[in-house]
Amino acid sequence: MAIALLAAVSYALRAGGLLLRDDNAVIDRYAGPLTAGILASLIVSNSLTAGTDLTIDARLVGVAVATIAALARLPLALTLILAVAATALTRLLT
Amino acid sequence: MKPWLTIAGIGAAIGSYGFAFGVLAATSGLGWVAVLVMSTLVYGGGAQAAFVGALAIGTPATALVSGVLVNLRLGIYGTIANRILAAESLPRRLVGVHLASDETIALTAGAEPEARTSTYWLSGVVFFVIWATTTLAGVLAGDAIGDPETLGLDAAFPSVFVALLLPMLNAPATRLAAAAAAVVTLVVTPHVAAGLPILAAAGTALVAAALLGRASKR
Repeated sequence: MAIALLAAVSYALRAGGLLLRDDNAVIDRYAGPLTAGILASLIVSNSLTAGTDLTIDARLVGVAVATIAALARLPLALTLILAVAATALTRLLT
Repeated sequence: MKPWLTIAGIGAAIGSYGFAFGVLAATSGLGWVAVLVMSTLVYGGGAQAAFVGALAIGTPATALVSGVLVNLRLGIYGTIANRILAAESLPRRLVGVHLASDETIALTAGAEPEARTSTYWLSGVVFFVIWATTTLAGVLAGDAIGDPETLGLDAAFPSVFVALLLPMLNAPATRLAAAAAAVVTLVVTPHVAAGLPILAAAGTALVAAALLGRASKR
């Protein structure tokens, strides 16, 4: 039941965006900074938080490795493998 | 970079996270039907994880609220998806908007303007299928796998987000927006419910971009 409600609300939120006018120049101008901000927020919340607590753990090593790999313009799949391996290795050693 | 290579890379991250989520859901006592329904109809990794996490310590009602809070950002993605799908018919837009996710929106924002609609559909369908199948595989594998964190799978998402974000930081507005959003997320997270920090960060990013735009006009 709760799952069905969550599904309904999620679709309503997505579809709500369809009600806006098509010729919205504001969205064009702000979509870039907005996406960058959301990604930055997701990076922080997925690497430095657990629930509502701030934590530092092995994920941070993985993200650091991913940053270096991405700056070196390695393919995304390789970046991902290196980051996951570095995180697993850090957990193994600590 | 070739688009399909990027889609494959992000798809691998979604698959790892999906599998990890499936295992987590199984250890929380959810069956494969519930997971499959959730993955196809809710279709939001963060919200599903928050739902299962809250269900483990609370009631279905708190789980519902947690999931909805995490998914509030889908309203923003819906407006962006609507822009990308502007040339499509209404039925196609109604289907397409369901595919809006962190990954499809970020990937499409980085694509060439003329390739945005096709990038959105291709990545959206691929990611949806990967998410549904890997979460199902995870819940079926269940306890046999052990702790997915031992494999480092929880680092997959932030790593992919880093790889998506870095190329976007070529403009002052996106740099400022990203930095401000990161700081706000860190500051706000301990004080509010899950799902709200990202909204505060999104608002901050918009304000930062607007202020920079105004300052540069002077």
